[in-house]
Amino acid sequence: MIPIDLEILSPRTLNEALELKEQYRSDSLLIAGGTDVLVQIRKGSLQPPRLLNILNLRRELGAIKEEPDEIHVGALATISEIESSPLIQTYAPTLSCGAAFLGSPQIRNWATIGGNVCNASPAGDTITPLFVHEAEAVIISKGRTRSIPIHELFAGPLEIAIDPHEIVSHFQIPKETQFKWFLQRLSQRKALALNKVSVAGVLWLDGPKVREPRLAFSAVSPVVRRASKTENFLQDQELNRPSIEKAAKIICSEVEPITDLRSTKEYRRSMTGQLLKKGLRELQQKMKEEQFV
Amino acid sequence: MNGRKYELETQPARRLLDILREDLHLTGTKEGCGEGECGVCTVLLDGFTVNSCLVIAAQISGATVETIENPIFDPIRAVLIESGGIQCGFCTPGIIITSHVLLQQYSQPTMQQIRRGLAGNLCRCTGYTKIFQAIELIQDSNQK
Repeated sequence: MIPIDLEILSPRTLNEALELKEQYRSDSLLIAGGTDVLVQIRKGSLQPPRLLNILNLRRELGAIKEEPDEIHVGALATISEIESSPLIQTYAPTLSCGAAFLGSPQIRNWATIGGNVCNASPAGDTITPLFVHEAEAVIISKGRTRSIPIHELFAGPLEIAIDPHEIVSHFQIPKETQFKWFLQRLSQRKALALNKVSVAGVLWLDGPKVREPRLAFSAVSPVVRRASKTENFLQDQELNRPSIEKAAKIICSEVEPITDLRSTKEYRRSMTGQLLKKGLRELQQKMKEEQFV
Repeated sequence: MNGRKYELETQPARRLLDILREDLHLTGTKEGCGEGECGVCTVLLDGFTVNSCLVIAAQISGATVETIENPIFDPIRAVLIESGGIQCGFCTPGIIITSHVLLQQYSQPTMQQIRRGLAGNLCRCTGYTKIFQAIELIQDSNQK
């Protein structure tokens, strides 16, 4: 059960929140929507001495806005807002697509991208997209702001690499254009189900040749990662059946799946390749169709 | 809360679900799983659906809440009763509230949009078919 007398501090401004985080450090746990945190507290797997509720900071930390070269996605933007944001659909479509897979409509209305990222699940639905769009995370604390590439944010499964006095403020995603993309996800059911494996991809096509492929996978390694060996192979390759088959074999060798409640490691390894094939074949199909337009 | 102003004092960690059922005696909202996986506790918070088992008092100062007791949901309830989309009735308040929002979002939802929109509301009795058909009926009658 959620302890009825759990101390909850609810700062009204960002400065107040940063002061409190500075003061309490690891003795305070951030909560926004709380759709992960409250479940873990109820189960007893998290027992924080107090919660720092930052939901009042939506004005400062909840914006999704366009800047000259990037889009700014506030940590307190809800998953629903991300799913339906025209800016994100244009410049980071794997993110709006990934958001659509998370939980259920009720959970998406309340959960935030900051929460999903900072929970640092190896299967996080918003995390894999941030990798392929090469996002940066902006981290703030009293008196300091720093910015790191998204892959530096994860120390291990469920372990976010920020200091106890810091808060993730927002994500910066470069405004890129003319790329092809896919997001393939495998789960027991279509909603309310963690993914067994998912593969996200962003790449450019120069005629039939692949340029700058970016692939990331989730739930098949301790943290979300880019499939760098597969990317190296696909660079400058023609997108055809043999190259797709070969890429699938390579990505299967790159992953480190485990067996758990949802799946065996053999199945996950095999399905990573299948999802990559599915994603790339759909791109190949679209490419063929575009030639007839 | 359903159009009336309430002033309540309670512990910040108290769930909205418990405040509704215990403090306000609005027992139409049910507890199913307690962890946001079944949708039985769905209410409207500032106009959008949430699982009230995952909302705590600290988060809702000044918020507007609508529960199944609100008469705005009566038309959908009537159609669901008529069409056999209710058996034990436990999931029904959540289904009705989510359907209400779905029909605001899409005036003529396709079956796929209906299924996706209701993905957060589980039912153990009906097998969902008659529920989805009921929503199709509502959009048909809205057109007349």
